[in-house]
Amino acid sequence: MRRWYGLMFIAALVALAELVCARGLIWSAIFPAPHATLAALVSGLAAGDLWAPIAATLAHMLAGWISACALGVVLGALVGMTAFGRDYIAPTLEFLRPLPAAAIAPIGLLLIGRNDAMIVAVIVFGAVWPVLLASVHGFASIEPRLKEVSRTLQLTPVRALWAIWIPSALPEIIAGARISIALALIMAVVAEILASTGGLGDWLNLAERSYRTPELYAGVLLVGLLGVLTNLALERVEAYLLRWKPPAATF
Amino acid sequence: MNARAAKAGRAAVFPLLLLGGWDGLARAHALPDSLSRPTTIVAALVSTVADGSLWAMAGQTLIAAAAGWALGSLLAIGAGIAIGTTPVVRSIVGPALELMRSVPPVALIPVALLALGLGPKLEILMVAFAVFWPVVLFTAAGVRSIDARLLEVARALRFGAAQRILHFVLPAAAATIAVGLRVAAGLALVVAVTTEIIANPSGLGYGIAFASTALRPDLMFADLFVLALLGFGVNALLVAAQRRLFAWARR
Repeated sequence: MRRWYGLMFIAALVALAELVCARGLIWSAIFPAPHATLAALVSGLAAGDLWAPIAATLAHMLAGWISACALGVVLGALVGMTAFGRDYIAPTLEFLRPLPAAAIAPIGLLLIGRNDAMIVAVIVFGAVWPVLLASVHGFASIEPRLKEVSRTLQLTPVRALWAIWIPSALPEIIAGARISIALALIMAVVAEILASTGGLGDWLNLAERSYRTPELYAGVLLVGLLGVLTNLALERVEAYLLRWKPPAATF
Repeated sequence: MNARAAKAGRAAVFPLLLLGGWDGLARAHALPDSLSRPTTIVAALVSTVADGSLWAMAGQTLIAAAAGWALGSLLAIGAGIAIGTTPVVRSIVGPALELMRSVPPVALIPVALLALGLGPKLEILMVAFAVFWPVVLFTAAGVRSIDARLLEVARALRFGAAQRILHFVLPAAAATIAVGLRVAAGLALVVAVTTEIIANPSGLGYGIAFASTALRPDLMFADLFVLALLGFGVNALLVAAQRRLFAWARR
């Protein structure tokens, strides 16, 4: 029974919003009734207006996320495994990390211009940190006995990287990559709002400027949905990639 | 002391090389003019410090971030205690909160802009919304992990609900709540700056966005540098405060 309380509460909130709007207790130009938002969502999807922004945001997000993961793993390996990386590169990264990533967007606008490259660059800057930190930690905390094994077997560095280093760091890297993809979506929306060259961020911005509030809320719903779906998808990927790991070890 | 100096020296190598290379290439006109030059950036930095505009901008950003952080955290601690202590509340509002949490705060900036207009209220409420989630999660988790016997003692001593929360629940969960507050403080600065860049014309975020559109790269990089310094400082301060206040709760 208790499982239904939550859903009933959500239904009650929606019904309340519907009632408040129908009675005109709230200015519906700013807070549209739930059914109007739903109608905007359905008609946007049916007429096809919404598919282009969805596809653009998805493409930005994935391109930025994949680049961020590649960069994060390479830098993470450098900092986690070598004294050079730890002494010479890590401090600069530490200084840049707390910088609010959105602040990079105006730099991108000025140096790169209003285009997809700027959007992807902003996403990379914002989304690289979790995967970077996770791979620093993953590469730095490899079981010492595995290093001995690799030395005893006289593995070539490339072989050791593939057979030992990457598999042992992988669980942490994937955990970081999951946080990174959530940030990639956020940064995609920020950069799209500023670049206004398409995507859901641009959709939100245009809907806001022209007071098309049902469309604005439909866009917000879609951004939330995109976040939930990508998280679920990555959960699956994680389970597949780490299927060799005994479940007890992953706490 | 010598080891420390050596460490700082190694940390400075990479940024200095970068700045030197940047300045050299810019002098040789090998870089686009939109990149400015480190020496002009320093000059711009000195002039914003001297005319006081830097302090005003940094102050606006910090005040909005702090106000939003305080408001969101206060609400979240209250909600977290209610959720953590009473299972019925948790099952009623849990799913609705999960649903709302999945919407990235930046997607709500256009919505908030429409509802609230420009001004400090917009920025503070955006920060409060974003900050609410980590604090409510950490508070609820901290409250739930309190030893049940402790609460039995409180009940046996016939403390009222308010006193139970004040003298038993809050102290026992304080270390966990503090972690949430620290995460939230970092987030507060990020959301404040993001709101300033996208919408609200105040603070360092707007300073950077304005310098970008005004084609003043020197000013833009100067503001960016100060923002990075601010983020770094806030982060270091919070880590130190947490270490000092909750040294006893180290896991």
